Amino acid sequence: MASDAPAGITRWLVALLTAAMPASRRHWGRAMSAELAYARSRSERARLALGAARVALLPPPGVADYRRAASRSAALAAIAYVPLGVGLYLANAVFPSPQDSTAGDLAMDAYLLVALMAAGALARRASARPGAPVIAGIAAGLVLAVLGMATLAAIDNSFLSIVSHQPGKIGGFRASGMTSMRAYINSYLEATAPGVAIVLAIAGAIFGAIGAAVAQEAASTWSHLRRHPRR
Amino acid sequence: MKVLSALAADPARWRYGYELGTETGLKAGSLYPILVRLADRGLLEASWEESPPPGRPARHLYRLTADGRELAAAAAPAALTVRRTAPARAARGRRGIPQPGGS
Repeated sequence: MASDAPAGITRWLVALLTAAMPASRRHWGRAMSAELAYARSRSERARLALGAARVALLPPPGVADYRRAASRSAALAAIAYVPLGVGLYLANAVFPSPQDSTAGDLAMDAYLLVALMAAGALARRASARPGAPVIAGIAAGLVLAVLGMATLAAIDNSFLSIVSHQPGKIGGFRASGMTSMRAYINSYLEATAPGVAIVLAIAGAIFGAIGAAVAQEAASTWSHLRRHPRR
Repeated sequence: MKVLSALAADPARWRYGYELGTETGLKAGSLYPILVRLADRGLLEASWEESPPPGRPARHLYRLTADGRELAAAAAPAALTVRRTAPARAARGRRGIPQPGGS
């Protein structure tokens, strides 16, 4: 039992854990080593050793900030995806068009870019670190890519009789030499998914940074206007 | 939140980890990771005790930064309640804590 650990072993354990901490955190290990000298019982020493272990396992300072920015932006992307997913469903399964809609594609692209910029703006609020909007944009882009490809896979497999009339799919199927439309669609989705993820991650990095810059500019302009209202 | 409230109860005073643990009821295993996170976010500053008891090592002391005090004021306007409910042992432990100079 740790609570029965003699002082020497606990001291040695805390010293070992201190050495395992990032350099910027070792003073915390030394602080707990010092507290050991004042501990009144074995259980207090054991708890200090447990505290040292937990501090040693904490992610380095910057990582927590980036993780917070990325997780918030990923959540925002998941929410922002809902209308996009509904749009994909309506366009492919409910109101299928024999021709590709350029206007619809452009609207979807514009929506995606706005969502990525919003992810960057949100990251700026979550963390002051300069790289946070880029990380957040990448996370948002990956979430959008995964949800988009999953939606398309679900629609294509569930409404195969409808989507198999799309000219692009018919042409691709003929050129593939495959004998099953379903197998063709799934192999096409599998082949394009990594590319979509990479493109959206890069777009997320770029537009996340732009979104954060725009948000910062808007915030400073707003603050200036509040301090110096126009008459 | 308990730690933030305890520190905000007397923000100018430096505290020992042991004292904070007693006030908040948190064991060292939980307290130190919280202190580390507060320091990482610039809410807590730490210093070393200047005159430790003879034969004992200097201990780490903690107090809120200006940002930490702002956050505590915004999040816990009733921070003093923690101090009121702190056990008498904590009050005894607080007496005679030397303040590090220049911090």
